[in-house]
Parts: sequence; C-alpha cells; structure tokens
Amino acid sequence: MSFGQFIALASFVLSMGTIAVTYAVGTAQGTAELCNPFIDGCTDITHTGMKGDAGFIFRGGMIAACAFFIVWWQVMRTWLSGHSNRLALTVMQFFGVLAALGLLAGTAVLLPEKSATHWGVHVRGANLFFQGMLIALTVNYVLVFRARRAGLAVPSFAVKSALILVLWLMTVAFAGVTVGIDMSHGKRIIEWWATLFIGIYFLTSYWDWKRIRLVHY
Amino acid sequence: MTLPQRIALVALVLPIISIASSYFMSANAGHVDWCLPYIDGCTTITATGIFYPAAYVFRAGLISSAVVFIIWWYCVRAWLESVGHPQHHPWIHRIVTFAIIASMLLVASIAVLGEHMEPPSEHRFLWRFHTTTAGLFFLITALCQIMMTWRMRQLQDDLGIKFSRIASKQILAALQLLLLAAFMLILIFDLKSDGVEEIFEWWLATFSCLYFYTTYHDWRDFRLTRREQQPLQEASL
Repeated sequence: MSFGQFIALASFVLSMGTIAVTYAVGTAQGTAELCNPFIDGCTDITHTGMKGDAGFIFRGGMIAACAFFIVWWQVMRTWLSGHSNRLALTVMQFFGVLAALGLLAGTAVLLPEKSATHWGVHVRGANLFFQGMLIALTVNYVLVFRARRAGLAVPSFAVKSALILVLWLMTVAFAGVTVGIDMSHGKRIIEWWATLFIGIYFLTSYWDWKRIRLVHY
Repeated sequence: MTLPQRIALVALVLPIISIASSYFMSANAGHVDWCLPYIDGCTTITATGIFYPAAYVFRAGLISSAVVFIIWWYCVRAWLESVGHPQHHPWIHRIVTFAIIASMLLVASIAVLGEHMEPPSEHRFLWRFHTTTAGLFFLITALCQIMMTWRMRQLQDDLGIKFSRIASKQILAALQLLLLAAFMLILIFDLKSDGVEEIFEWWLATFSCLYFYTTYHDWRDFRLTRREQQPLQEASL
C-alpha cells in the first residue's frame, strides 16, 4: 500500500468507523436512539457522540480523522501538481484544511453535558466543515476533471462525479447541511448522507493514489 | 521542505505547543501551580489538560499529535527501506507496528480526559485507564525509538547512513534509556518522593518529541512523489 493509499484509507475508515462505532455503543448504552438514521433521522451525528463511552470514542476518533483529512489534502495537492496551477491548488487546499480544522475544533469542545457544551464553537465548526468541504471538493473535482483531460489516470472519476453531483443536488434541493443544536429530522438525514458521501470521496482516492509514494533520492 | 520534513517538524512543535498552551491556561486559571515542571515536578502533563478550556486545546493538540506520530513512523519505515541498498527490513516493521499501537493508545488516553474525571476518587476506572494507556504510550514509544537507534547503528553500512545522522538519535535514545532505568530503580527500591514521577514524565515526553525531530535533516531528499513522473519533473512536497 502506497503512502497515498494509506492516507485515503485511514481518512475513510477512521471517520466512518468512528461514527459507526459511536452509534453502536451509544444505542447499546442507551445514550442514542436506535433507528436507521439515514432514513429516520432520529438523531444527528453530534448527539450520538456526547455522552458515555460513545463520547470518548467520538472525540478521539473524529479529531484523529480530522488530522488525517489535513494530510489527505496535502497528498491531493501532490497528486495534482504538474496538472494544475499553484493558485487553484492553494485555494483547494486552504478550504479543505479549513474545513478539517473546523470539525476538529467543533469536536474538541463537545462535552457529555448538553448544557455545558460550547455550542457556538461546535455549530460554527461543524458548518465550516460541511461548507468548506463542499467548496474544496468542488474545486478539487474541477481540477481532477482538467487533469484527466490532460492525461492523468483517474480510475475513480465516475464515482467522484456521482458523489459531487449528489452533494450539489443536496445543496440545491435542501439548502445543504446546516448544523444546529436541535436539528429537524430532514436536516439530520441530510447530515448523515452528506457525511457518508464526503467520507466515500476521501476513499475514492485509494484507487487513484497507487503511485503516490515516499521516495528517497 | 518535503512532506516528511514537515511531519518531523510538526511532531516536535505540535505536542510542545499544545502542552505549553494548556499548562499556561490551567496555571492562569489556578488549576495547577506555576513552576518549572522539568525541575520542580509540581504538576503532571495530564493535569494541564483536565479543566476547560485548557482541556479543549490539550485534547485537540495531543490527539492530532498522535496522528502525526503514526505518520512519522510510517515515514520511518518507508525511509529505512529506501536508503542504502533498498530491501525489506522485518525489524523495522515490528518496531513501527508497536509504535503505531502506542500512538493509538495515546489517542485513547487523551479522549477520556476532562472535568468529568473530577473528583478522581469517584472516577477510578477512567483514571486507571488514562494512566495505563498514557504510561504504555511513553514506554513503548521510548523503547521503539531506542530499538530503532540501536538497529540503525548496527546496520549503518547497509543503510548507507552517515554517523552524524545517528549521533543525535543516539544521545536522545541513551537519555531515554537512562530515564527509564532510573525510574525502574526508584520504583523497585521505593525511593519515590514528591514530584519525581512528574519530572520523569516531562523529560521523557520532551526527549521523545525531540527524537521525532531528528529525522528532519535525514529527510531532505525523502519526498512524496508520483512515481510515473521523472525525478527532475517531480511534483514534490
């Protein structure tokens, strides 16, 4: 496994795995409601990871995942450099890293007690993640599209296209993901799906980055 | 600066800034004493990350640092397999595996910290969990760094690494070994006194972080690349 593939896989497994394990532990311990959140929207992601052991797993896993996201954007920059101009890459990386830092800060301030949590930081951080990530992924998609036309092999292009299309459809149709303290069922459903799609987008690079390696010259 | 060089730099700077910031915030709020913990041992590293808002900085900074350590160990493995006569080194795989597990223990250790652990007498399990995982992180990381230095010294010719590049690693590994040995002796002969454990903890953490930084100069020509490119046209970081 190349370095690039390691980062792509770790970004996906850690983020999605953390959410899955948190939800499983939360429902088992009675701190989260049991349902299919992708369909029912009975809970949002944040509330699954506040109380009890689920809270520890969520905070540890998501902060670690955010650190991997930051490296993911650095690897993406390396992969596209030579096919994209420096300014576009910088804009892409800036919004990607900003989004990851937003989620990192938003997760770090979560506490077991709802009343004690700094909701201002959490809500701003989570919204920065979803909105910053949408901008970064869109810029990324345009750069990947151009690079592919210029001859760069992009095995995951079809999946990336579908994911970007769905993310934008969600944004246009449902005004995207807007995280709040108490979210409606519809917003919660959108949040779960958007998070999954962003996670899969990170994973798709696993097939693109076979040759992104650390090499000594 | 190449990507591995950035990793080596961040592995030193991020944990130190995180701990220093949370110590400053905690001491400012009166939760821990003002002192020079390397000499006085007035507080543990953990104690600086219990009370909010210092705990937020501590949590975010040290969990992110653990990820940087994991990537650093990945870089070490890739580097040692590509210098000199590139070959498979099973020993480095074993060391890196243990060290990565140790960094995961650090994540677990930090994730449970917070004001909810107060008072300690009512949350013995969480404290025991934190102490065990943090202790294992320090111990395993130090041992892995010592083992790595020892093997690098043994295979110096095969790896084609200059002595000057191992010298700083040897000094830090020797200091860590001395600290661990002295701490074991203190425990065995029951010579513990107030602040000794804390002093050991601060120094061991600092030596570990400094060790991560020693590869900064080693990794000047070690970079992340797309292999299909020609070396001169490399898009490298």
